[in-house]
Amino acid sequence: MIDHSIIVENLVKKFGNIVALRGISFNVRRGEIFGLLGPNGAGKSTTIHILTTVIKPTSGKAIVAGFDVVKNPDDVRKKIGVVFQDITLDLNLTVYENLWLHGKIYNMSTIELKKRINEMLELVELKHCANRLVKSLSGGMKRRVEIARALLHNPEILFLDEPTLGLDPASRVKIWNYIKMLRDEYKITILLTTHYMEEAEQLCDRIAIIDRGEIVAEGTPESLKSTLGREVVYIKFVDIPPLGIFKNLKDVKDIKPISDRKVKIIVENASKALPEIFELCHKYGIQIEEISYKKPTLNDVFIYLTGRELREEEGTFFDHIRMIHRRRVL
Amino acid sequence: MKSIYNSLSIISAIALRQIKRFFRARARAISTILMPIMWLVLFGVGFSTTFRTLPFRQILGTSYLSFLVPGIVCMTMFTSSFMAGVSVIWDRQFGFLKEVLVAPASRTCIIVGRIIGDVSTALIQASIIMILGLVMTGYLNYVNIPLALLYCILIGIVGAGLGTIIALVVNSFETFQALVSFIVLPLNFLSNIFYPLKYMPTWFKILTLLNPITYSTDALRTLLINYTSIGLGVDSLVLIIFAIAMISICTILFRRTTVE
Repeated sequence: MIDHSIIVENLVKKFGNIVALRGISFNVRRGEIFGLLGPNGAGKSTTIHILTTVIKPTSGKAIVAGFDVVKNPDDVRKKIGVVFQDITLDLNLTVYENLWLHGKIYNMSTIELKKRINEMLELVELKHCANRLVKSLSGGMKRRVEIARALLHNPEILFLDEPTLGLDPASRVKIWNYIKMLRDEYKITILLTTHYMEEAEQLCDRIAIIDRGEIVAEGTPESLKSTLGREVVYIKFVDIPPLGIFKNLKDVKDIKPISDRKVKIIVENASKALPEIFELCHKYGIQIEEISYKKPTLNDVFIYLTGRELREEEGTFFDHIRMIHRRRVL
Repeated sequence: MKSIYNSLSIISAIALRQIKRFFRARARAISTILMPIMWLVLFGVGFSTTFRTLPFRQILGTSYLSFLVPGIVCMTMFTSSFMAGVSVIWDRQFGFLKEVLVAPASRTCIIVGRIIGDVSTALIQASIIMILGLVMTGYLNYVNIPLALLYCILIGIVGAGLGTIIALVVNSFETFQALVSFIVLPLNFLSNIFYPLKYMPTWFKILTLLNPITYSTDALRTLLINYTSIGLGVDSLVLIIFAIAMISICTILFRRTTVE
């Protein structure tokens, strides 16, 4: 029997006529980093909000750290730490004051609190900034303060909603390292959402790909990628090619046109498929302009499952306003 | 015992945060303290010199300025506590509200903490005006100032409660601002702050008697200048009922509060 920290069953959330979650189910095992990967508006934040007791689901069930999020929200709250997508620090307080306030709200004793603040600030390497006003910190530093704050009361489960959104590459790597360390050394269960596939690949033990309120696939990054076959060959032709001819290739798994002259061929082994492709093209007198191959990424998995790019930002007006707000706050 | 201690610890932490925030925004802190001083000096001096020719002393048994000081104290308490309620909207917009919503703390403690913090900052302003009023009139019964501050706290709770309720309902800074002039101004003028109850037309008097500010002003006048129209007993009762009602409504609304 696998020990689950989070159990989600058929979770539905409607906002008026808009259905944000169409009955999702997944489990997070104790001690793993589980990723919800999907584009903006897929329902990732809604899921986090329900699991962290901020909003109630329309129907379905969610058990977090052994407690039902609707029936026993306070028991859930005691066991979890949350870093939301938008900054939720008090910008007009110092780093230390923010952590202090958090500890007091979570009823930590003064002695324990002082000790924990020091430990957590050391963990995120921000001890030297303890007395700075939060609004004077960079985006990456604010994120680190939020991580320190979320861990202050020793939670069993940490929720991270887009933990590196809008951060520079150096800050991103730093935060990735903290997240890995939390799993490896502190044995904390982590549920994170992201629309960066590198992040999901780098960090997550298991991933659920979520799109338009539904989970379309679930598994380890490797198993998800292997569903596509091992490798992908991209070809750009001089003229529009007759795609039928490639069906005769050995080990071909799928052929997908990307545009008129571009095609993607999914094969078991690209190194072996390439000579065959050249031969076929030669035989039928088709000219190749460019050819390349690569191992599939989670983005390819996403495209395969949904027909769309993971990275394309289907920004609504509201998202746009949020981004402006984020920039102002970060 | 432990749970009471825990609750108090949460309440005081939240209250302290409200107070810190108030003083961190220096320009705002200075202006909110200067505002009532300006009211008292400009309005009070202007009116009291205008009314000097009128038989005010015979009617009220005191100068208009002494009459006005307790009223301005109540006005300040109510208005600035009310305005502090807007911080709920800021917290929602800048995300801090979520931090509170995921905490295992009781919503009542959070709301009570906020109100206490907001009232404390207003209390600082009210004390300044009381001291200034004492200097300007040379007349206030200063022995009763501590007791007067207790009534200030009550009307402050009513103000902060009402402000928080409106902030929780409207959720937008612009709407809140628009409502302020529709609520605060009539409440201040439909009261006994500027004129005695005795000479009001009946319909005006009825409205005035529905306004909690009237009772705190009456209590302060009784204590500070020995001028009574209603009486401390009724004043205390009405104010306590209003304060409890406001805190209860706030708590109910805050329990329902979510994000997005």
